Amino acid sequence: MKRKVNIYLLSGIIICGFLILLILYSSIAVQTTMNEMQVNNRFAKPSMTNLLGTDNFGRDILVRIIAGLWRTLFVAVFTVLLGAMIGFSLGAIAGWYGKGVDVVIMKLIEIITAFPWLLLALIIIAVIGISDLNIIVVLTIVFIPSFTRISRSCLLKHKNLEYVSGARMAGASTLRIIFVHIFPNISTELLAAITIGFANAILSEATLSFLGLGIQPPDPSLGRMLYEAQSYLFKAPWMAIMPGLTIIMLVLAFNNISYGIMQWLNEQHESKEIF
Amino acid sequence: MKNKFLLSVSGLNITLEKGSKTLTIVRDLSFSIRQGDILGLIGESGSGKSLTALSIMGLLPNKNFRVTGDIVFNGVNLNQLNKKNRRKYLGNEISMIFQEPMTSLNPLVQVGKQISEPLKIHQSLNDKQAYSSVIKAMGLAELPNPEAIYNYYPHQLSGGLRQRVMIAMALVCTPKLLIADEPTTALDVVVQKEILTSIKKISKELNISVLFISHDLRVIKSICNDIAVLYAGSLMEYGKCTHVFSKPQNEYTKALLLSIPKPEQKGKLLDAIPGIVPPTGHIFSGCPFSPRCKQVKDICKYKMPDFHSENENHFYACHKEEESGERKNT
Amino acid sequence: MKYIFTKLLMSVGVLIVISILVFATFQILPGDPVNVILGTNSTPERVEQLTKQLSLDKPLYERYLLLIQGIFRGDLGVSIKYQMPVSQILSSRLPVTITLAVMSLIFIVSISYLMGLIAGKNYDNIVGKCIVGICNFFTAVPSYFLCILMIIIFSLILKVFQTGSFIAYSDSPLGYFTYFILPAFSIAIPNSAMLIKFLSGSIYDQSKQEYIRTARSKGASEMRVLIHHNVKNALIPAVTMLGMIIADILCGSIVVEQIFNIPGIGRLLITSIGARDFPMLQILSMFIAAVVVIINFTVDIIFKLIDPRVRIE
Repeated sequence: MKRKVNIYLLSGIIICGFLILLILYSSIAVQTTMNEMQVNNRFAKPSMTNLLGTDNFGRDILVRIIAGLWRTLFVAVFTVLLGAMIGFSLGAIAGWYGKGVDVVIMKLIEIITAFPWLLLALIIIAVIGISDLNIIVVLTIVFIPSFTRISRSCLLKHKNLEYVSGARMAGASTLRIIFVHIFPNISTELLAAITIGFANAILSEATLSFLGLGIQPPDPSLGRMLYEAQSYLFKAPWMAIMPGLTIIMLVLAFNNISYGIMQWLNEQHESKEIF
Repeated sequence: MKNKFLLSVSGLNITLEKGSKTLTIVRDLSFSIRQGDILGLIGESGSGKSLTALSIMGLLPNKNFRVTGDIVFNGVNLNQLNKKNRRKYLGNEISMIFQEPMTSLNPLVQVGKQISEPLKIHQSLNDKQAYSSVIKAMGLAELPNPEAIYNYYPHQLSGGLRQRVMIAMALVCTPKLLIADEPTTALDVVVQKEILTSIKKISKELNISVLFISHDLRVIKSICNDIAVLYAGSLMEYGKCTHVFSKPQNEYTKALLLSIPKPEQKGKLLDAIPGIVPPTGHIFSGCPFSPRCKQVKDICKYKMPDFHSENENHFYACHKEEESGERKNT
Repeated sequence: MKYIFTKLLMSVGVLIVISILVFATFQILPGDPVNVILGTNSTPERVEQLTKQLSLDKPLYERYLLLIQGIFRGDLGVSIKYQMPVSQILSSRLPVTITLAVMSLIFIVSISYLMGLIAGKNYDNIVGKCIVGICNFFTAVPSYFLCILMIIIFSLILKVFQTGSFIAYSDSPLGYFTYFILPAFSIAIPNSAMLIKFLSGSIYDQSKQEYIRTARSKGASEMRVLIHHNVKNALIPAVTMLGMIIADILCGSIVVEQIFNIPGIGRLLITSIGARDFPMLQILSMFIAAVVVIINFTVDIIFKLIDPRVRIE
């Protein structure tokens, strides 16, 4: 039987790879020129000199998009990293120990999720103030519940499986069982959660920046660029379209990777066809 | 009237397109049922018996199945009807009960309403108008306390009761033909016997024909008048139960009958049929049973045997008496 | 019954904890509200007067109890920025956001159930795959970008809409509702995309179940099988998504109100943060969180009521 190519996974990785290469290639040059204003070149249409045009300050949009991408990915990586570390651990503890511990942790999660994520983010920002690093803190807190839930449900499923009893009988400590035995077995689910988390982190960061609560001007950020573009929609629509498309592309890429991973998971579980 | 055939299947071929290959599930199958008779269709897993039943109903799971041949019910060739016209028969003159009562009922709808659904569809009655017919059908299916059970949901009933609900559902429009696809396989032995007795009783009292599908010879022996033996999609033997069981002619039938454990055999080796059943859809050039047949001849391997008749109620496919053979199909 | 009571108790518990948390956050951590209000006008007497007025001299738990008492009485405090009772501002802004949210919800439900049905029935063929593919795309589009795109397309290219400013209900009911169409739509689309994917998968899964075959064997038409049997079973897991969707609509409206200058709760939230209007923020946060908790509770109860397998024990 021919092996079907997992098109989602492939397309996602290709797009991601392309964007990351783009960033790495031009990151240094971009850092210096990203805020450079060319006052006589404002609102330039996309052309050979300015591939994606310029904005209201004459800044090259392509350069700013790349710089913005860099920052967005930076925030997303740290958010997901921290969020997953804390979330997966919390979920594992809740799932493993059950009873009181589980109830307490899940109540905590329930309270965090009682707030629509944006409201929660806004409250935390209102308290700790706006800064580039604070976004990571805010988003991490917002994302912890979803990671916790996934890790907890996986753990509940696996803790009664035989290989865990086997490890217990061999004298393994709880920590060892969870991280050395169980986690590798649920790695696919966790990976799917991380990639979806990435996609959502990018969207969330863009939303916060759009509201002016994320990365501060004049530093570029995809969401911020969209906000600034609002006033000039009729004069220079490319100011809005390019950053927007970039966000879409980025999120699509990670969504596809995640979907590809989940399909791969399903294929592993699929039984032979009987009719 | 009694000798007229209610259902006449001739030359039924079921094929399945799988990728680039075409698998033959059922090959040139023919049988008939008279009004009031119970025909048992016996075969092992993968022999095509369930699919035969589904093809009579027109309920094959997906479009890759192709059904050719004649399925004549009461003078009408069902296989040539369009979907809409065929649907008029389903649940109405022909109804079916399935193997898994657990999953065959809608978990969200009360069983009474599910039983009245055929009446809604075919006679445009609403629940209220259909109520008395539903209770009557539940009584026929020997459900205890029908008025109470009407409001129950499937998950509140045991397997046996759920199967009786299915039977009531199948009887509510007073069908002429009931197709039972291994209705007792998923039930325990005691309940099995009760359901079989019910089916036999219903068939007799209401003069309903039954096409009973099973892999269990003893079950078929207990309630069927006629029997058709299916192996790997081909009809091996066909005739009245009494004849076939007392004088089996086809080698597969013989081996099948021998393989039923009897009390006298206690302590001795069971007479199993050597070899394994070929995979579904496997292409044969000759008789499908030839690899496992004790009496196999060369001709068996490349030529499909014709039908011979033992008497007017008993036919079999075998090469063993080649000189005296007239192809006799009903 | 017992289940409902327990759930109610737990929800109330969550509400109480939320109120304490929000209160604590806004009372303890940030700066001194008195200085913020008085600014350059502060004199020691004015400071003392305002402190007394805002009950800031009392201990924390007393302030909390005063707040809760006030809520039940209808007195939600005074906004620092607007110098008006919070309840007054809320009551003028709330209907606007509710209109937006309800319109979004109507769009979401109607688009999703229609397309979800079509996609679910056609899951195997090109129609279904196209629909799901389009939905995959739209889940990656932020609602505010959709707003911008639609403004560009409709105003610039097609010259249909004229994006003006917000029209109050009192001026023109028709204009009022028409103004909400674009915003509601842009909130609706990403959420619909998600719901369509979910629903179509659910319908497809159900269509493979055996009771569907039983229904067909009774002579039911494809339409009847779909609506009476398939969809009913597929809807139940979809109900659980409603809670999440409503929370998402609230988030979406916060952003969208900014873009379209809609004087609703969302915009109020943003401006209050900028103005450090803590009394307002406090009440707003508690209110929005309370709405989400109540809706989740309701959805949970409905879910338990609909599914007889759970209801009858």
